[in-house]
Amino acid sequence: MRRGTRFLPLWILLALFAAGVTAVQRKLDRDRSVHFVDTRPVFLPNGKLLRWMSMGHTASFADVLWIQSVLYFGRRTLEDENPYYRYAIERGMLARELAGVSRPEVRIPSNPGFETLHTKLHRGFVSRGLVREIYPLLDRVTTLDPHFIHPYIFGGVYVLMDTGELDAAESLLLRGHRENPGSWKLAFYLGWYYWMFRGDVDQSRAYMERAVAVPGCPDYVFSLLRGVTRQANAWDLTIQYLRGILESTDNPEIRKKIQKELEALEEARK
Amino acid sequence: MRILAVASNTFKETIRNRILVNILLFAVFLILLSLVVGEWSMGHQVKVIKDFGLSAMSLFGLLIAVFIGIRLMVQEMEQRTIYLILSKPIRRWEFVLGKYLGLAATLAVNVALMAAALWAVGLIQEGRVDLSLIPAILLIYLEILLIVAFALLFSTITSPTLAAVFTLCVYVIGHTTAFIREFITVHPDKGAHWLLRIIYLVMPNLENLNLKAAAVEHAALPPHAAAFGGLYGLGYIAFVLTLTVLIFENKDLK
Amino acid sequence: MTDSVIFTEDLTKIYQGELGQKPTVGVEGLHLDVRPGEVFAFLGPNGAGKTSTLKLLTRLLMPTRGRALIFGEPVSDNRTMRRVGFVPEQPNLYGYLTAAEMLDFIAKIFGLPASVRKKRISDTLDRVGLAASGGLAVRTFSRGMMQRLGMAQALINDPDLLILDEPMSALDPIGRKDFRDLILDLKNRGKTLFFSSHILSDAELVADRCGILNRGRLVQTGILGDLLESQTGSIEIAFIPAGGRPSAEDLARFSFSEQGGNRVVRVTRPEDVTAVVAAVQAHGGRLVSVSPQRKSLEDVFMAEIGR
Repeated sequence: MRRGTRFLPLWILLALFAAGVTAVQRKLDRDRSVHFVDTRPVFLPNGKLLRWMSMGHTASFADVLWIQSVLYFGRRTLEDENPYYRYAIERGMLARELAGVSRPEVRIPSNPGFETLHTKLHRGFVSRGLVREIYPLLDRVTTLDPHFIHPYIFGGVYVLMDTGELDAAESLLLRGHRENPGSWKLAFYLGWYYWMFRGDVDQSRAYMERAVAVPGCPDYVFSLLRGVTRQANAWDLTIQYLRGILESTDNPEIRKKIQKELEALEEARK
Repeated sequence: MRILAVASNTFKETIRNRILVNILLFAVFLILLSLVVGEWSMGHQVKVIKDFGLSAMSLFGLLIAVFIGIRLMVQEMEQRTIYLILSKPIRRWEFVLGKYLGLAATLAVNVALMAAALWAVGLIQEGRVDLSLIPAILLIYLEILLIVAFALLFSTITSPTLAAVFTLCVYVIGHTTAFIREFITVHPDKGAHWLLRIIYLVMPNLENLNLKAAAVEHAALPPHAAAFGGLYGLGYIAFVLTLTVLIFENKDLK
Repeated sequence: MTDSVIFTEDLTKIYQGELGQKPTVGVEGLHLDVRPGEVFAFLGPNGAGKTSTLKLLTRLLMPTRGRALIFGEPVSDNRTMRRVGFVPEQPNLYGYLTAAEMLDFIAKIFGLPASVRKKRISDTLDRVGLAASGGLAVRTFSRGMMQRLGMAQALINDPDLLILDEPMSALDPIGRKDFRDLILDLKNRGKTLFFSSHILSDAELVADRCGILNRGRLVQTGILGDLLESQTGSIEIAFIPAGGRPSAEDLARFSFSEQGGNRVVRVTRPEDVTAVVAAVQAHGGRLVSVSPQRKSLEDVFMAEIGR
């Protein structure tokens, strides 16, 4: 028999097995997509254990967890543009989910001029309370790779604006600043945090001073510090702060979010 | 001269090894894959590529060190080529050192190729070649060399399988000692601390050779951390090789 | 002792067994003295300690006690080995090299300069009959070719002493013939050869002197001729009887055997030879051969190891 035809039955078997495996895979994928919106980190060893488990590859482990955080956040952001969110709405899967969320109590500082902005922000917090579990993830990421600056900012600024998790964001930013005293950004964001969410001008000024002490700190942080020191108009200062943040990042997602806040603020001011 | 002859022969042997080629291809593939994974990182592709690239170098280096490092001596004994060589006017330490240096040369080529792949990907993403990774890469190379030294040591005293297990244990312990030190510092003097202290000092501390994260983020390090890390690695390699020679000098080649 | 090529004194190797095993004797109390220019056959059954001895001489094993000298220098001295060539039993060479590369590697270990190496390699390959195979990868070699290459690597430094472990066991008849010629050639050039073997017929053809080893102990040494002649041989007469008839009365006192159509008589006294030959011719039979039977090394060997 010729070589080609002799193995024909085996080739057929091979094709059958391949088709079978693919079919099962597709079936599994179909079933799984139903639970997509529910995806959340199930079990995470604490940061120290993860450090050990990484066997020195801490940065790569951190990257993987970071990507997970981003994906998790992306899936659970309640926006009309989010396909996962739309899918969940269609299936009527969100009611139970939302009922289970205990919304954070947002203590709005009694800082004159903030009310409008904060009322708006608070609404945001209330409607977007589904991403709280991101903080444990970011905690792992930053423990694994304490010099990876962005996760601190992501959790301390960006996620904060969605969740209102003031305490978690604060501790993340503080740890970031402790680990990276040479980064003006973290000091600057802390200054913003205390001004914006705690109404604590003294703390804010203290961190801004630390920020400008770092070589390479851009000019707008200096002018912000001057504004804080002079106790300038709260509206102006808030807008200036948000512009500074806009300035400090080239991440399109963050810029989009800040721009929205800026627009809202300027709208309210009119 | 004799060491060089053995080394160049070992280089020829190992560079033609199929395992090596496969591992290398896979490593390069992984580095390329990090391009894709990096896309999801919200604007941190470059960091992800570098982190993954350095990790791949170190991990695949480890694999090569274990698989080829152990075969290095075992093959000589199983194929009985060692009887022929060692009956020549060559001292046993020369033979061991030659073998080691030969594999070290192969690994150098290997690390260089992986680094080139990493830099090429970096060039595409970042538009420049990040030379600040060099100290970290050199230390990865030293870490691999240290693991090879251990593989050589274990393969002269025990069976290949056990030698592989022991070598992997060294890798795990080597990345654990830093935690032992932390434990000693945080919980000062309790019963068995002297034992922990001895373990800490005797076992290699591979974290000394780990600048991966710091290099990518340009983080501030203690002065000359890379230089002293290198010195530590070289010293430890010298120690393990001397121990290997000591054992090998008195070994009966039955 | 001063001009001995190989000299050992109470050379002993006892293998410490693994945990819980009894120690085993490799070789014990070996006294050897191989003279310059000799071809010395080191004989013994499998497991007698031949290879142990050879490995002690080439310092692959560390002696438990006693000492071994080659050219009057301790074998542990690295320089001693420069004048020695060694072929292990069924030599294995690096499969990933070509034959010429392999020899080049060995030559480098001997520290031969590049100018000498090239010519030496082609000469040596030629001598062992591998001139055409120098560029082939060693992994493609047959066992016989491997044995030849093993011989070549031992000759690359033009040694004064060659130590060979079972050199002929992997060779075909042509290979054995070539090998015997090579040994005689080396002997004529004043080299000393020391080889182990359990194939006695080969040893008998080339050796001047032999030592017989059994259970780790040397039981006999001597010049081959002396060993063999110390026993008287017999004479064998073969003939074809006339017309296939049975033997005549004259031959009745001898015992016969049939060998391939011939009738064979074995006698010990020379006068019986005359009697047998005369009787065969008287009866019109045809004489085929009269051959003196040497005592074979095998007989000596069997007597010594007492089987």
